[in-house]
Amino acid sequence: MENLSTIGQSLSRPDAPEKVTGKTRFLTDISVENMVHGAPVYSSIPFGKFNNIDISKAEKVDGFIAFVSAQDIPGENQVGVIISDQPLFADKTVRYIGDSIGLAVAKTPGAALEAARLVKVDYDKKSPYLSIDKSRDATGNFIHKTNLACHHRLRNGDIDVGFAEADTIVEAHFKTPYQEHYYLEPQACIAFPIEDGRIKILGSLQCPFYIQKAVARIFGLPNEKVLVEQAPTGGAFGGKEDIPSEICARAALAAMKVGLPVKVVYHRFDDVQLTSKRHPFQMHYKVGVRNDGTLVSAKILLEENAGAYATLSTVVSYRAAVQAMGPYVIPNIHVDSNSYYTNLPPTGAFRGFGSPQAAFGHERMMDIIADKLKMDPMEFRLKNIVKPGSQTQTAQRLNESVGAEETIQKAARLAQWNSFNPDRSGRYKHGLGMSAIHYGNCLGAAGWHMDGSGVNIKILPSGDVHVAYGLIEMGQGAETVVTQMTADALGIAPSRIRVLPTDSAQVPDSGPAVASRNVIMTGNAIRDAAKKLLPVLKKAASELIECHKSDIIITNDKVTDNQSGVDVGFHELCDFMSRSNMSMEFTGWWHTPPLEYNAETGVGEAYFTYSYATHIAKVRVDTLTGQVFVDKIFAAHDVGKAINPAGIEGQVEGGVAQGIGWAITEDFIMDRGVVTTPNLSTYLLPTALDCPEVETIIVEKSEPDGPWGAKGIGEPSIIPTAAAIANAVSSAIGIQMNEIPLTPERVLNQLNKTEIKK
Amino acid sequence: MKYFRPNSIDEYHELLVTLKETSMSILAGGTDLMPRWEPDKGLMPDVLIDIKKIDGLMGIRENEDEIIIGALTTIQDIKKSILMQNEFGSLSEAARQFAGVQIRHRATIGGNICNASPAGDILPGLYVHQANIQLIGPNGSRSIPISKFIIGPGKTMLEPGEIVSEIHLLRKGVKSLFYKLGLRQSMAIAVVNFAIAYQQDSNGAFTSLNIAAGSVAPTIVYLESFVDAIMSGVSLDEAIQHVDIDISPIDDIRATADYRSTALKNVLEYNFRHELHQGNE
Repeated sequence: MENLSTIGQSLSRPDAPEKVTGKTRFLTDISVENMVHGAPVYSSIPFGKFNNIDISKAEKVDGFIAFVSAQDIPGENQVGVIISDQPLFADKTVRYIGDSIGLAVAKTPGAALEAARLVKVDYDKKSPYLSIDKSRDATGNFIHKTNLACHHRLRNGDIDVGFAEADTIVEAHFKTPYQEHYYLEPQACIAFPIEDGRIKILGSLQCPFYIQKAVARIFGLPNEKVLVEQAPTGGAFGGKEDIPSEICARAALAAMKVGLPVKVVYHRFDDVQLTSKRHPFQMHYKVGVRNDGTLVSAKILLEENAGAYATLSTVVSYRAAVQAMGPYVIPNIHVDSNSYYTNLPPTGAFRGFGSPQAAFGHERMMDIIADKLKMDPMEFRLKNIVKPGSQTQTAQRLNESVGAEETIQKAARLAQWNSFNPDRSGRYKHGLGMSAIHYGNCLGAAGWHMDGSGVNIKILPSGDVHVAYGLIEMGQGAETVVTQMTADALGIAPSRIRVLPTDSAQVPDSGPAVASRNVIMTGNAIRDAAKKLLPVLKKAASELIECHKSDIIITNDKVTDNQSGVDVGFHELCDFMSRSNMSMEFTGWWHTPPLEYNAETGVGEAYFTYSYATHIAKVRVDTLTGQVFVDKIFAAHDVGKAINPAGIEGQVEGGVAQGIGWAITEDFIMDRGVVTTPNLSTYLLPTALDCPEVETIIVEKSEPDGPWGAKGIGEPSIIPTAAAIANAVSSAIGIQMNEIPLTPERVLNQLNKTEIKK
Repeated sequence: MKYFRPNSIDEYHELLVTLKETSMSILAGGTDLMPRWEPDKGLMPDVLIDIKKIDGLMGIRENEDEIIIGALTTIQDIKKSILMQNEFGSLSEAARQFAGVQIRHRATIGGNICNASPAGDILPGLYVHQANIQLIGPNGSRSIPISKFIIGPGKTMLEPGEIVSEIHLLRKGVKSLFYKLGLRQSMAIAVVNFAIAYQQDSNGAFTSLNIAAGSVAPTIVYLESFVDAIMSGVSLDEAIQHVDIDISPIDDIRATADYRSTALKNVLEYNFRHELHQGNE
């Protein structure tokens, strides 16, 4: 019988029609009865102490209702997600411009904002730390107990022996900047008091269970007293991983204080000033290589600007450390990854989570070394690339799902890498640049204790199937693939399936919707549920058809007795089960495989599997202005198995666009802790004209522990882009560009410097 | 804020007489005005007068000597005008590179002039074609050259109650080109822009030359020293150094003064060499 599975088909998104026609109701569009509004009151200085909060002027604003601050907290004044270093409301000390003082509550958003502005706080200023260097070199007067937020290290092999074996040793220093998420929908939530003392949150969010725990902690309540529902979420990119926890907790405090639903929607200028961004990195690479191009030794220092609070820095720092040398075999390696507190907005999760920064380091390094060795950068990469059975830089032996080499070869073939030979005599210099990466899927050794996810599949009498899952749709296409995987696991039509909005009351804590883990986690949980569900369906079918249950086959939406050929529709079976009073609800759960990892040395299995990708950028540099034009991106991705190829292309094109922004146009500027690029006219996201055609190449090296062989794509899509562009620009102009963004001014300055030297 | 929408100039003037409020804004396309009312910026005015429905201020018309652009003509209309493309290439090209498609459909040429941005994309073309700005006010109408009308960043010669009604361009058969350097490919405020209007004889020598640059001074400026140097016959390499006399750029979040000066000179020199065939190619 032909199998009409939709796995591997580009099923269109169930949420698309409403979104493209503007019918989806985001939080800004949602009003509830008696709802009032909150606006954040925050520190106007980067570092200091305060004693007095004067709300006398704010109280006079027409519509003012209440001011909520630290003294209103019944539980613990703490919202630190990993390290408990962050009060929900500042307790006498403020550590960045944006540090929370309180929440002004009023009848309208305008009145709340006005009241928030009129709250007066008297500060004793301290000298702030506004850079990694200043923070690292401090000897006292630290931001917290120390200025070092966290440290990760990797000690594999003997680097001294390695460097002694090297024919050439290359050193370079790299810098990568902030990146603001600029999700289209800013941070937003509504907190509702429930009469029995429970609290409900409706939010634009990525991690409902982070919020549940954060709100419960503030009130000193058991987690289950807090109900968290996800509203349609207009983009997140990691920016709604931990940040909504604090926003929802403040709204919840206000809601309980005033006894009314409280809505908080950040204005863009507040969102940009207050919330997390991508960590700026400064990196020092020292790499030893033999004349034949074999990598032998590396000593790498990564330094990260964590901002005022650690938030997720510890795990960003971990991921950067264990991926610091990329998808290459290197027997001797030392990595130190240090995150420093500064008096600047906290940095945290952003698509790639430390990987784009590390990729910039290792991929620029690979090109610089190839240049020194006079080797083709592709040949140099292929010489060292990991293959099935190879050991990674953390001495992890890889299984068969390793498509790194194939992504390089396929991207290079399509880009005509070997025949690229541009005329570089004119105003515009053309360049081709390559970047190859690996990305550890799911939470890895540092987050293994929480790397489990669940689903709840409910069969309705009509034959419809409701799937509740603990992860979320944030624009990445989760609902589509959850639909496809459920349909395939049960052998039924995708049109029967409805993926429910994520609701903490309906599903078990499934960890965060991050780390490109949705397909793997939810897909495997669906298979687990199906394993329990299918025997029940077959038993029921055997009763309905009157045959042996072992003869029942459910496929293509039909339930068939393989002996007699008699079949019934899936909905008939469901109706029968309902009438027969049978169980129709099944849960599934999956946890990532155990990892052997030594946190002291960093050696071991960092992640259970890796996605691989290669991007090749074709660029044009205007030597008169320094402008960089990206003419084309070739993007090859090993995704294990493409559940939805169009969804993968969408992720890749989006990742490339965001990567182009980080590499070229998005120059995030602060002046003594104040963001001076807080809106779309100053913080320049790439436009359609800045984004070239992207040729996506899908490589499928099946992962045994992935559902249908699948691995993650969300983050790998952005990780190689910036390095590929910087490599292409460096090759085009013959100058190593080791810092981004490649603004026209930065490029022209380098061109002029080199000209003067000549 | 009170909102009014007069349907004619007369209605507009009648309205002005009745208004007692202290602060007033004129709304045309609104693309520069509305962002200023974001809660992190300024306050809304007491009165907003929407002039979009005033008769006769829209469209491009021509007579033997002039092309006349109504103040409410959108940038999109200028972009698609064949007349503008044929006779005022710099303005046509500036309209093409102006903001993005949604804004081009809303923004008006009159609004762009009155906004008086040092970086305004339409302005250098108006400067090099020596556009005259026609104004209507309670005390009648008058006409001022664009370079006299704009007096500083956001500052113009508009008297209270006066509005721009038309832009007059003389049809002298002058060719012109426009260049814009932004930090991305659309929706970018110019880091440097300029327009060149010129006439050349059959040997390629200039019989007239006019250059105006934006984003390099508090207003659009004429590059007079550079033009004088070119017209006096000094080499392009030497003449280009005169540009710094004409401009007074500043550092801001988009670029430094040095960069603006360097990029302007680089591209200007390239244009003279390769587009206008001056000096050695």
